[in-house]
Amino acid sequence: MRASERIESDVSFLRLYSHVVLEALIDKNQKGELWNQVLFIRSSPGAGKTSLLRIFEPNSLNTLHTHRSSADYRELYGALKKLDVISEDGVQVVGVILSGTRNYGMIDDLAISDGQKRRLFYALLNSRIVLAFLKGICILHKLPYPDSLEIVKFNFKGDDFQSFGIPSSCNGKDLHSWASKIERDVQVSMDSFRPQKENMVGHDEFFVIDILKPESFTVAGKSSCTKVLIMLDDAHKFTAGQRESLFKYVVERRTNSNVWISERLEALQPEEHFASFNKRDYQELNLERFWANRQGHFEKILLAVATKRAAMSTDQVNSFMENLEADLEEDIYDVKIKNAVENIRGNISKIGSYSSKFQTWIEHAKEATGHPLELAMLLKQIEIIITRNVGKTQLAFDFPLNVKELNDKMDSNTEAAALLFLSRENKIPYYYGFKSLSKVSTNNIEQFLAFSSELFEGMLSNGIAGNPVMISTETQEKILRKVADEKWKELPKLIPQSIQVIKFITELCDFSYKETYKPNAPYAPGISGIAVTEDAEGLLPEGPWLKNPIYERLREVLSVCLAFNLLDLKEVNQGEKGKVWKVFYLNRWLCLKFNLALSYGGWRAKKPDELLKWIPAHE
Amino acid sequence: MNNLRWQHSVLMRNNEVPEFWKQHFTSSSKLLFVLGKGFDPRMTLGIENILSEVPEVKLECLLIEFDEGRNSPSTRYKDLVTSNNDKLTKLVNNITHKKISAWSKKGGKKMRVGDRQAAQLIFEILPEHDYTDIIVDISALPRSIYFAIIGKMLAIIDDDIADKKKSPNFFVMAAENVNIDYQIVEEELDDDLGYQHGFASTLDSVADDRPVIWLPLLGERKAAQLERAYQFISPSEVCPILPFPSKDPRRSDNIFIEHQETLFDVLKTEAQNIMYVPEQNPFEVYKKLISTIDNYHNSLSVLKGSKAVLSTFCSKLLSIGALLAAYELTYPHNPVAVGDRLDVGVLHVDSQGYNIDDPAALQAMRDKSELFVIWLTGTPYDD
Repeated sequence: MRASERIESDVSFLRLYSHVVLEALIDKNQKGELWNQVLFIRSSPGAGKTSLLRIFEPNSLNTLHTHRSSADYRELYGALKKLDVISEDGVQVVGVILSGTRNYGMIDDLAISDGQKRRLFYALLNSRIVLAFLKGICILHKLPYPDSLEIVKFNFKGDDFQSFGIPSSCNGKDLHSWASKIERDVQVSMDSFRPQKENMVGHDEFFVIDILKPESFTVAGKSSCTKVLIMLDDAHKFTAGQRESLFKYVVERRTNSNVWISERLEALQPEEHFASFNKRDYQELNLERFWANRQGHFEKILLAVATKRAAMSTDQVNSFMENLEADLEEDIYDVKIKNAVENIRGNISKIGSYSSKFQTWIEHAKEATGHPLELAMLLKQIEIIITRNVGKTQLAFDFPLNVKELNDKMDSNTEAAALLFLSRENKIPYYYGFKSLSKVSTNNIEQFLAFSSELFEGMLSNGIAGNPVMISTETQEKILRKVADEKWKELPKLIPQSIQVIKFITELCDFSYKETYKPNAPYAPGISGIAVTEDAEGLLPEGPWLKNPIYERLREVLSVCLAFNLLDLKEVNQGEKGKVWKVFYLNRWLCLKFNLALSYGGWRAKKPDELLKWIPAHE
Repeated sequence: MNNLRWQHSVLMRNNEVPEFWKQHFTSSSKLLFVLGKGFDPRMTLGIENILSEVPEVKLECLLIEFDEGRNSPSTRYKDLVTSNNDKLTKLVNNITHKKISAWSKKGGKKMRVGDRQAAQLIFEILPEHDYTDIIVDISALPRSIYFAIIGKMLAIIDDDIADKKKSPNFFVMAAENVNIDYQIVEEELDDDLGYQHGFASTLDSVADDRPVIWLPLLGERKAAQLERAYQFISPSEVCPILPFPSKDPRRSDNIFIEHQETLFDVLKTEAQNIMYVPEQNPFEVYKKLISTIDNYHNSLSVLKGSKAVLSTFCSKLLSIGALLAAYELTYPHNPVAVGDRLDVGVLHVDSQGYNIDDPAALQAMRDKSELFVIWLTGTPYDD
């Protein structure tokens, strides 16, 4: 049940690939925002960036084209057709993936000038992309690599890049030799114990995006492809200087080449995190944000991923969702629920005794009947509503409130709060079922796999022990909590400024917990987010918090939280007309860890100086 | 593959060592002694040994402090570090302190740079020196640091030799104690791995996609490191190497049993690939590694040969064998002897710090350590 980065065979990869993932790109293509430009694909770790890119590699596309009629691949084939990547005639795109993990960062640590560092960086990128392209073109045309490179012809019409020594007209073998030599020379100068010389190999420009064009290449005299797609994966691994230089180059060049750059949000500077989503001068696809607005689709992806992966299992468990108990086993919790009913009735009588206006509601509660869980839910809602009304300023006489008024005050939010309170107070499972699992995943496939793989293990263990494979609600909750606890323990190793960030998150969760579990459930079903208010009357009122140096610590911590998917930024319309709040919501696994509701909605505005108090001054 | 640089070599151990110092050092000797500042009780064993035999030797001491960061688990052992440091300052007056950081933090990104900083440090202090002898005591130095220090020193000395300059006697010293090694457990392994500086070779090359042979040297409690390295390297073939003959004849069996699940279920090792090297002879390890890498390269010539990666999850003494093999193949002293260029990388799995099972027991074990001196350049190798 792990990520596709580790699925080695193309056939297995494609079989597990959900075409729904491509909807994000189809959407862009329909708006004319996909091809002939630079596209940034961003997310926190595990949202599926690498998998999204891998499908465009020649091996994957060839395999897909070969099996295009098979039921397993038909939908995926259709999706790629919509992207103009594949047609009945064959694969149209040579996709080249280059990962930023290949030690580019080390260049910045060399004892050479900044200019020479940049030249080495571009030289390494240029040479490696040319090499990957040559390999890709051979794979696409089913030719042995590198032995058949002689039949690949390169003829570049422009003469802008002659100074880099790239031959303007040659065969693939010559181009391969040119690029191999550059790659090797750069690697040696980067790594050798022997002293390095200035003015060694280097390129001033990232010129491959201009020379790797379909019209520049033929294979055995025929057109090589209709599109070249250069994909820089894991660009967050580049140093800040490399990233800035590269991005400036590709964005300012306004090339009509297809360059996709995928990176984790952690690469963004704080101001980039908080900037408005619509004011970027390049195309961007934020995967989590895309799915956040399409929850139904995301759930479909998760289900497809889980179903396909479970179907490949050689053990006796071949389905996933069906083996997660979706409803509370009421008979098991019968005693607890009945006790809860008695307790809530007692509470209602006690709270209601403060005022005669609740008399009818109390009677209604006493007379209510139904299945124990149903009854408990109803009574808990009545208790919440009475508590809310007790707290209200007395504006009217104590005339008894009628049942219709009670029913009018009950809605899906009070119901959700009642369920959360009931579960928490009576130790009844709350986090279970595929829907909860999907929510806990917070638009991140790796996060889903982290939780679901443990659940799948549970199913396998049940099977091996000869028990029913189905996992009870109690066990589901136990497993989910265990994974959340492990993720929490891992945090100090994974994130920068961990002491400050963990303290901040803990404070935020404690605050949310206190607000959520107030007896009157004021923000039913609960609080799980904050918005930062500009308040001139705060303790530190000087200017907007996004620019004021006093709040740098707060901006840094929030930025780390966004980059590492601990918080999730959503724009929410609330209050005066047109007022848009940027709400920092907790990632749902943190809601699980801190016993909060999984649904979005409840949030509170906090002043920046209040939030600053949650962050220790030093690491 | 004959005529290797250290085909004939000098290795001294235990009782041979004090006797050797007495004979070797003269009034014209000028010694640079490099050691690490750490919690390992073996830190001062080497220098104590020299000064007890030749107290009058002209000695400069370079003490390298390695900063693993404030959050490192090793910070728990500050007292042990202070105690070792006190011992050293009582022994030597002339100490140069140099601090290197394990990490650099640029633009909020943490990157391991300790190995590069260590190499840079040697580059700054070694040229234009007039030392007759250099000793690097690796007993309290982290692996990635001493690989960089020794590699860089060898490269500088080799350049001197090539320029017909006078080259110093260069020794590596290690206080070997398997029981102490067992007590010190690496904690919080790195997620982001990278090849050792100086030995990254072309392992990351896009142009070169020859099969990769991985030769991990195994010690106790290294299953997690093995798995992590395996995922990173993604080798075509794995040849685990176990220490045998060893002081405890069952040691290799025990290591094998401890790691069998990882070796066979995760690494998919073929049983016939398992190799053995003598526990206390790094030069034998060196020869065996080079011949294995060479054999693979020749056998796979139809695929244009192979590349190799060495990982040392073993004692420091054995790791020197791997270092010498990687150095010889990467920076050939005699290019004819190694034939085709053989690409070899070194991959360590570093950790955020260390945990000691029983710090008190560690001190008690100190005196049972065995001292080894590995002579790498100088008099015995001069033509």
